[in-house]
Amino acid sequence: MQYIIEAFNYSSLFFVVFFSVFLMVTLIENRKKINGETALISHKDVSATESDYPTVTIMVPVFNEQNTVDKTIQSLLNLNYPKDKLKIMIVDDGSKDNTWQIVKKYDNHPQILLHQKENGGKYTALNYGIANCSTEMIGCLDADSEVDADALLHIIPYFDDSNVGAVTPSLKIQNPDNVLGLMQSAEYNMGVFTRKILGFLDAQYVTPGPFSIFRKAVFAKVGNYRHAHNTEDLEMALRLQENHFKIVNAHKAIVYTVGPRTLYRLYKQRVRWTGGFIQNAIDYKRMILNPKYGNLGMLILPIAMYSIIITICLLGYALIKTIYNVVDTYNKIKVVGWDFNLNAFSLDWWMYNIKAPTIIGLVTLALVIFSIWYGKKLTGVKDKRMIDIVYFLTLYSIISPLWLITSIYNTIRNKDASWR
Amino acid sequence: MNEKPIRKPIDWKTYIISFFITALIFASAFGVNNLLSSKKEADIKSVQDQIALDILSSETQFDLLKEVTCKNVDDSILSQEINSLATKLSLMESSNQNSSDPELIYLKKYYSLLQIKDYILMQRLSGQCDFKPISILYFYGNKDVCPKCVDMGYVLTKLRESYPEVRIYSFDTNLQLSALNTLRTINKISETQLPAVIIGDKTVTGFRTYEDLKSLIPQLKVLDKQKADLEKANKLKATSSISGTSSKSVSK
Repeated sequence: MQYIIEAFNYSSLFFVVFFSVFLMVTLIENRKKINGETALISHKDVSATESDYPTVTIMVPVFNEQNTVDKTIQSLLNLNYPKDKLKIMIVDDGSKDNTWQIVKKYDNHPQILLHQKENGGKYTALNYGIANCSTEMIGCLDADSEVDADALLHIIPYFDDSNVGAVTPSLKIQNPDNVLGLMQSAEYNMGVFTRKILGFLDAQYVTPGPFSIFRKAVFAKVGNYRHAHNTEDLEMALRLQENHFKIVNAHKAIVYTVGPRTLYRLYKQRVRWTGGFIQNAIDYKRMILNPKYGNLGMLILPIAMYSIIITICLLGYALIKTIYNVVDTYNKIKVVGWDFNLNAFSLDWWMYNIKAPTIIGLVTLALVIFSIWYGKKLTGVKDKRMIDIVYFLTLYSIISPLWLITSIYNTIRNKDASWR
Repeated sequence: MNEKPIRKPIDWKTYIISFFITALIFASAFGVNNLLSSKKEADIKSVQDQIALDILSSETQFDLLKEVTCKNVDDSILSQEINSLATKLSLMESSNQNSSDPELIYLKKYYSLLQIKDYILMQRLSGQCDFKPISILYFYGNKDVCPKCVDMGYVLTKLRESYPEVRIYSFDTNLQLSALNTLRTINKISETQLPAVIIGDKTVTGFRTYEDLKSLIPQLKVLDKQKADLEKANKLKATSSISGTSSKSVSK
């Protein structure tokens, strides 16, 4: 039994390291492209090239968002983009609070379109928006997010490639000021790095709700949004990939989103995301290990599925080991009391059990830290904090099994996680 | 927009490069692991050789002197490395998940033989000269046959830490070593009696607490008293030197 556990641990570790190395190798192979993309979109003189810009509609689906919707609209109005080519469509999905009263003040704004419908869920609000828009590009911005003024300007040039169906932005946590916020901030920075690399591999499997922009014609080809286990942005990305549309990432297009501020809200959000991923991946299982879907089918989807199992198993194993050590220490204390020198700090290398998994773990840790740092660097936002990385590395491994286990349990029970 | 969008083909080169880099990381990690393990083993071997040399030297010294006098005999004649070697071996044993590792078994056998030789030498010294070092023979087994041996190990480790003067000889009864079996037979220790501790001519079987064990060794009280006296003397010395310094500075 010991050998089976060891074999599983080592093979899992091999997959984890292989995937991290794979991302790094892809980064090295594409580093010139990243520099080229940054140079290509550095111009900001919109008025000089106004006619080159396509028309765009940004939908803001709202449901009881009275506290944040105004800021979201303001950030969209501040977008550095030809005013006559940009429409902002607010779709109130039957809010019960003052959201509608707040957005009503923009009734006569030339750029803003207000729509109200009966509550049907986010995906119905998005489909309502798609049905009522006639621009070349269409995107969405959740009402808990704000965009950087140049975000759209950074996104649009990627549509010059006619195979591109959607462009994703870089997501960052807005003003992280508590431990959970900082932890998520590091996680999102790692997400910036990963999304960029997955973009190069044609393997992005999420077009995030905040500010992913689509070519409108895509919806005519692949169909509208679906309920998709409350993760319609994930399902839409998989559907685009299934139809071989390119999803690329505009790393300089920055969107700030409000991360959950309490552990319970974070847990709920992640149960929805992870559960949504597992259930959508099951719905699209035909893509897994199918070379027709390139890197997404052969590596990213299998690794993403496997990583959930690995995380639970490895953390479960670590938990058992920790419990064993705690019991062992408790036993020692019970037998000989506190007054013993057995675990005293020592500089003698003999005292440290440096084994192969420790060394491999340290290499993986270095790769994770690098990806977080590189994610920060990619967006160009100056942030010299390192404490977020510390919180991420220490807390995330402890709390993530909570939602991973719940998500698997929900999948087995065939239950969708709720939005809130 | 193209009618048939084109997907980027799989670049197997990236997969192969990544696989080799990962394999290299693993190979390096295992290489470092093996290097450290063999360094540890070499370290233990060199300590064992040192002990073997110490014992041989002491035996020779004893043979030369025994007919003449016992006055040059004190505890410095016995090897001082036995206790540190015990710590290192137990660390190596606890970090090695494979308890049937032949290298580890070899080191433990060698260590057991050295302990027996050291014990015999000590017995000879104490029999012929007025020199009575405190020694404990400890027999233990693996968790299946002796679940209390782990706890007994903690107690003896604490005793070793608190009283470095006590010579603790520990023997794994699972080792297939004829000299060790003979030692067990002489002392009438069976597998069902583990953990077993022999202090002087007393044999104690089953788990004993630290205090129980201390009460079985009356010499420890003498050691405690000596330590307390020494501490008192040091304190007095320190106080007088401080008052001496301050009185000097006052007279200045």
